[in-house]
Amino acid sequence: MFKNRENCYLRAFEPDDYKTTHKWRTDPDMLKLLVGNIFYVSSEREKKWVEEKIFDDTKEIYWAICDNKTNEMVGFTSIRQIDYRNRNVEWGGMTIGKEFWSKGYAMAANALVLKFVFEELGFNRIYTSYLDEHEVSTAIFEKMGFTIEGVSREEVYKGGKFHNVVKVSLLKSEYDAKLK
Amino acid sequence: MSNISEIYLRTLEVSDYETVNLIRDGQGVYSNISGNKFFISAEREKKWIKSLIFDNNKNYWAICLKSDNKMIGFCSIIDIDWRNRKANIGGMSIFNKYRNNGYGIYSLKLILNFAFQELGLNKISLEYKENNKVTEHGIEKLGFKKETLLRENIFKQGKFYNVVIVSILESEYREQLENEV
Repeated sequence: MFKNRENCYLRAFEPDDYKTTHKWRTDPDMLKLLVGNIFYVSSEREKKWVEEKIFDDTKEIYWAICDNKTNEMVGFTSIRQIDYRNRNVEWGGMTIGKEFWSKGYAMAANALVLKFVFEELGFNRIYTSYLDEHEVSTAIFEKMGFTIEGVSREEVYKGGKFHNVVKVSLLKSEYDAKLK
Repeated sequence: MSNISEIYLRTLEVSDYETVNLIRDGQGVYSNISGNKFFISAEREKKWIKSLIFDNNKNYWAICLKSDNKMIGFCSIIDIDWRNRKANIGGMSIFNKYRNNGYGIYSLKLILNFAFQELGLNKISLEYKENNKVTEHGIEKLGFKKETLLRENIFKQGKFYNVVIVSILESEYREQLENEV
């Protein structure tokens, strides 16, 4: 099991997780900060979506983030655009349920994702993007040693306006250097 | 003396099916390979080529002469395992009259170049029937190392034969390249 000492572990999705992911997906406070657009998704569709993730992990891998002590699901994260040939992968985003914010889950789970990507999948680069007004993301990716590759201007339209998106990446060599 | 620049590899096309079928059926092929005897109709060969063209975990090539573009054989890389970055050399055969010119070794060398420099793999393995002197000599020259002896692993021509598994690592391949320069 992919577990850290502090507070959480990663596990594969289970069918019932759709209830939790659907709750978070319909929370405006949580949606505001995501790069993705706003959609109204029925719980039945959410259920199907979770089932798809369970039975096909070749293109994307989704994990539930769970508390070490209570085993409660506190968030979820994913990697996608898995490119074994160039050893590149996109981090699909990190969602921590609003009720679990500011407890250190995100940083701890991030470390597990990086460990899996670099030490198990043997990848060379992980990249992702976030809204430039998302201050928490800015701080977190800087702390993890990601490099800003550029800012994609007005890439996303949501909440009545266009938003800039920051593109960041971390290389295996940088990950190794940081571990030492 | 022949050399590696006399040949090239190109993707196998469906229209090659009759040639592949002839090569497979050619004299001296069956007794040397580590596989069993099958009777394959040309029609089945055609279907097989159609299926492998769309398979991402293998690559089949026609071995051709640069002088007249004639297809003299075929070779392959199969079981590509992206996560562990390894693959096997699969079927490989050359027309009887073009054998013993080193074309087989050159084809293997071209496969290794592609596997290590383009696919970014770490290990290439192949298996051959024990005591196949031509293969043994060739793969030793290319730097493959013996890894496993599979005892009485295939039954053909009335008896059991041993099969040898050899492999070469990316680091060994790279070292060889440096020595060649």
